[in-house]
Amino acid sequence: MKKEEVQAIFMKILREEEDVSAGVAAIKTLLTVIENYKVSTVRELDLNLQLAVDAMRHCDQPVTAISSGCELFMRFITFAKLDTKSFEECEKIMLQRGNIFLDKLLEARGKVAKQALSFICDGCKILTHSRSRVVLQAMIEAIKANKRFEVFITVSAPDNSGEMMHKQLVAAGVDATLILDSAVGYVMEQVDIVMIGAEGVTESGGIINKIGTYSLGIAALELKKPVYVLTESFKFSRIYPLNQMDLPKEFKYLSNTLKSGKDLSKQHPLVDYTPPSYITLLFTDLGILTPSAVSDELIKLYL
Amino acid sequence: MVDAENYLVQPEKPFTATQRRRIRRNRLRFAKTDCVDILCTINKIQNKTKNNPEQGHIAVIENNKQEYKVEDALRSVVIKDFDESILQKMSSNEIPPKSRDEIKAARQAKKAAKLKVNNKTTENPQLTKEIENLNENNINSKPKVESTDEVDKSVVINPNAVDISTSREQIKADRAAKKSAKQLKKKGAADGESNVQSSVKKELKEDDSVKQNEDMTVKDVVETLKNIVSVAKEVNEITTKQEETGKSKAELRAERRAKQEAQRAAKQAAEKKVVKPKLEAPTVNVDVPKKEEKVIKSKTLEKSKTKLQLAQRFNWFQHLYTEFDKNPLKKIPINSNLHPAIVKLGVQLSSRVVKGSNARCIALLDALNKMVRDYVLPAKTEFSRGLESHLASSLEFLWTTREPCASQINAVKFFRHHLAQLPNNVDEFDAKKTLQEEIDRYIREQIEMAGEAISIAVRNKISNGDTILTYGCSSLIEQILCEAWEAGLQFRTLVVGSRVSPDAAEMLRRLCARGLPCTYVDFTAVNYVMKTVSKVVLGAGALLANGAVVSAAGTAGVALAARARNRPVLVACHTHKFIDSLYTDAFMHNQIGDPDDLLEKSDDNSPLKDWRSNLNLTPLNLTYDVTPPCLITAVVTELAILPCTSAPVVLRFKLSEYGV
Repeated sequence: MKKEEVQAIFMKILREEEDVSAGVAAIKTLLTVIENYKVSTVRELDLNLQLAVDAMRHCDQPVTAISSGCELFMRFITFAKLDTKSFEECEKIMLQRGNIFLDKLLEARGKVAKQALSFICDGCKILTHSRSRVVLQAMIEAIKANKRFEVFITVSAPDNSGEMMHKQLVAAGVDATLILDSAVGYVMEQVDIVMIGAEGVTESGGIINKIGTYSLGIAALELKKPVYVLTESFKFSRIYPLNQMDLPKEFKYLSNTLKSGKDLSKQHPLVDYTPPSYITLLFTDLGILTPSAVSDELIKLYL
Repeated sequence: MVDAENYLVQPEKPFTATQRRRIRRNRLRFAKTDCVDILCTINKIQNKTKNNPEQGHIAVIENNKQEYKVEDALRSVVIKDFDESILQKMSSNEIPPKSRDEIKAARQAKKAAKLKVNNKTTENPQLTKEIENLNENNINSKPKVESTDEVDKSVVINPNAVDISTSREQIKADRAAKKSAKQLKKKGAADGESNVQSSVKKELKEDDSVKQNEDMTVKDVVETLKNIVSVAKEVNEITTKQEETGKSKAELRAERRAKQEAQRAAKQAAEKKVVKPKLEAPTVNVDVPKKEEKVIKSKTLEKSKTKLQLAQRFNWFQHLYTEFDKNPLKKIPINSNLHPAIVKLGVQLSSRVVKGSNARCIALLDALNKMVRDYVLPAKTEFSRGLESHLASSLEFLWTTREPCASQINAVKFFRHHLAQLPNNVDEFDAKKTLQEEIDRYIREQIEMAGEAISIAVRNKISNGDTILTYGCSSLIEQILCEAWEAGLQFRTLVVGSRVSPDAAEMLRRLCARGLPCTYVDFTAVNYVMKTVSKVVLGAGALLANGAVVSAAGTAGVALAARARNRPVLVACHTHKFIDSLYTDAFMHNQIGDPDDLLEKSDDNSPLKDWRSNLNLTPLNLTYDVTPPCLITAVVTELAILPCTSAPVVLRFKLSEYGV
């Protein structure tokens, strides 16, 4: 099994399925690896998976969701691999569990969107940041439930993913307005709630998201607006950043940038860390949690 | 010897009491206490005088010379090793009861024979009568001086019921025991010799009152034997206890008197209640003087009065002022069966030799280990019940020396849990082995391995070029910083300390010894230096259920200063320090430290120097404070780096694993 092959599979999945986030694509890739690359021992399988994850991290995709998703996936499937007679049976069980995990993931988004529904009331104005598939789904559900609301979306440089979100929202029939990143402070007094997605949730209860989220959080706290984070549970990761500098480099910069050996202090980071004190609630498929409960859930998952 | 001296002295010129004492003192000072030998020699002399009443004084003089020869020989034995000699005395004290018995029996037989002989001889009945009269005069002339020495008092000698031979032997034994007891007490003290002299004086005073007494009954023999045994036991106990040096004679005497009184009270009644005199409060006060009544029960530990006057207690902390007594040994009843390791730990805790939560926990577990190892199960008792009650009494003593910290409470809970889990009819050896293994495992896993895990976790958070700030002294923080430095990370350390406790200086010393670049600042400068700091790492004494951190007084201030500048605050805490209680301030549970620590010791003109005489001045030295969870960024445990609010999760986790 070669790195390039894994990367090829990964990129293919991402290309073909628009709807799929990087994390879910990564997990699908891993499942494919288990299916296609036959090995004879569990240890070899473990090694293979680790190699695959490593390969995907160097794919120029946001690493946060990939790493947390893959780690949880591996924990989930290896949780029950003991005491089986032969390796084939073992593999079968692992595949089974892998597919269950994936199914759960795909359902997760729907669960989260449903929970957010009750928080979107008639006539409310929502501010969101960059492109999040979960938030999109939540808003589409709200439209289907005949709610009337307005949405402000930031452009979200440098990749301008906010524009795509805007297009999708308008196509769904949502009253959406595109604003500059720098206009967040200006708009904040008009909005009622802030709804954002997350690329990763840290052990502290804070989130890692597209650059600009932190500023949004500070402005929201200052103007007393609640910040709701919509995320699936496979994005929970065990890192505990103390401040922005403490974020791992792989999260902040693309692998190409890291490899090229440029001076990182002069590069634009892709993500930032929003501490838990700026977040009101997290909507997850495990339930609606406060930031302090995230650690509780993580301990349950990992210990 | 007493008799001989009197015989010798009386007709010529009377020695004064002091002179007699001096003579005796000089003799006793260098005597090698081989009681049996002395007794034998004395006996020989006595026999001689008795057998030759004709010779009377002459014989006595000759015999005295012999005696003196014996004494000289003894005196010439140079005692090089003081301890050795004491040990010898100890061993000799242990031997007597048995050998004395034999000797007494032999002597009684001899005495019976002698009496017959004496009765038969009518050659000098006058002389014998004279002798007797003289003796009686001696008894009457010398006033009975009550010895204030506890050892003397405990050796109850019935003047009218002791025979000559046995009285002498008893006196010798008592003297030897008392002397060794006193020598042990004064071991290492500068005024050892003078104490010995004074002690000898006391002995002599009592000895004067004890003269030839006849008609001894077996019952009295037994009684005196018992007394000797008790004295020997006391002496034994005293060797195992380490008393504070540098105590004045008066204090020691007062101590002993107090002990004696307590024992007397206990002896006379099964349970007596004594109301101590109410503490006198000064007339001019702001706060109402509280009247304290203390009840002394015979079996519980005595609590001595606080040294502070009531007016000098801070009102809000009345509940925290324990009867702070620096010498915990006063509180142990004489017949307690506390293990010496426990007693030693108690002294170490109260004198603050052992401090820091990890050190105290390990010391406690070590003492418990020894206690379990040496525990002798009484007959017809179940092992766990017996040990539990023994443990309870040991802990009762320990907690009076110093309030337990969270790590100690959890360690005890753990121990009790395992003790309760022992099967009913378990073999004593197996039970002990299990308990000792559990203790070792606890120390290894919960303290040592956890410390390593925490060290690695914090090391990942330290980057090159950082400045780390820490407060006070914590063994864990020291381990973290030193290991990070040795792993090659380049960072600077700032140690913040306070004038009150020397902990921070100790921390600085330790870090510098390992080669870390450190700086020391006083607490007053913490805000000023905070802008140069990148991270703050603190140690914890305990972590409460709401995530608040109990630590050395001053930690909350440092955390606050860090928060004000948005510096991340990490608290490194083992999971065995997590406790289930919850309090939000430093008033509910705290420890009042020694108020004298607040004084600037090097400053002779310190305005606080005479604070005790000033009723309007109350120095308050609190040991702990509580840092609220909002000031803390993260808690680093061996399980994970957690937010403060996840403390209950860890508690739940621990409960399931350890049953504590």
